[in-house]
Amino acid sequence: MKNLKRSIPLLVIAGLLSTGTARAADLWLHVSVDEDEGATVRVNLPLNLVDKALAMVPEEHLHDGRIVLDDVEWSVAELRDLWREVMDGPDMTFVTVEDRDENVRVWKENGYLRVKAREGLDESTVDVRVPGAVVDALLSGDGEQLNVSAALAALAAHGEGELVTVNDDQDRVRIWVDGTAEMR
Amino acid sequence: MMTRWQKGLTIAAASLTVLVLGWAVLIGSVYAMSGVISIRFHDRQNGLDVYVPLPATVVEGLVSGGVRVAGDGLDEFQAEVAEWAPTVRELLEVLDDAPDATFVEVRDGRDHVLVAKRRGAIEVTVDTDEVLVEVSAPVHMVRRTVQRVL
Repeated sequence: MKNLKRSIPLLVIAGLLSTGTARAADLWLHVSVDEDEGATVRVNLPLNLVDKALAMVPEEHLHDGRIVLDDVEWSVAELRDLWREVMDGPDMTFVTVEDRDENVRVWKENGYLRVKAREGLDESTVDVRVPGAVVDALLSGDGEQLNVSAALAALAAHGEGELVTVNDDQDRVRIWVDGTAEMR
Repeated sequence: MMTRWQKGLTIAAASLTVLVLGWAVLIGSVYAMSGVISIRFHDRQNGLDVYVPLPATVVEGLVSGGVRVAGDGLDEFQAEVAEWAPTVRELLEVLDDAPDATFVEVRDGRDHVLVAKRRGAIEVTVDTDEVLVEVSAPVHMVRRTVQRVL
């Protein structure tokens, strides 16, 4: 559960990064968070607004940043090398973790990077479905730099779709892109 | 038949009415054409309730005047924010072009935060146990003002 909760900000950022400019003016990024205690967060932003807003994020958060996944620290360069290997390969499962409390699968399928995780007896789940082109674009920068603008453009070119769904015993998070300003 | 005095009073009253109506029409037109910036602050603890509606053109005029008299202070400010100025301008351009929508809404118990665009105005509401703050400003006016300042 703690892992799932720790993952939520990362997943939200992944959703934000998974967004561009080709059809950016027509597409909206939606983030919906519902907590069991009643708190709700609703975000509806035009993709081109997300693009401009991300340009205001202090550089240290996007450049020379290291990404921590499941307590393992990865450099952007390492992720880039890993991703090239993934892209060159066929559709396949890269990571499978199965134990009594946790079940994680990371795989490539029809041009999408998929992550499914289930944790605990309460069947908390994380489902991530990021277009491969978006990850490609995100990792297309130099050195330790994430190319956020390119990732946004790739997502806009990709169009509508679900990106992230998290369900656990306390929170429900959904991140998606569609052509409407209000949530459906 | 009206006496001379009655005629004079009638003409004076009619002139006054035309003058008052003219000003009302003029002020109403300014409000309608430029939009209104409104700020409401309600302190629930001590009952203080302040509501300030201002025609956007008046605020723009005040900012323009401020820009003219600011001199070196404005130059320093512009130098400090130069890195962000193009992004802020682009952001406001996109916001101006965006349709009306609720951008961010957070509800947590009694607390409610809302950022939305309604009828071309950006609206921010913060509603908690302690305070209610409502700010509304036409996006096109904010855009023009920021362009002038940055």
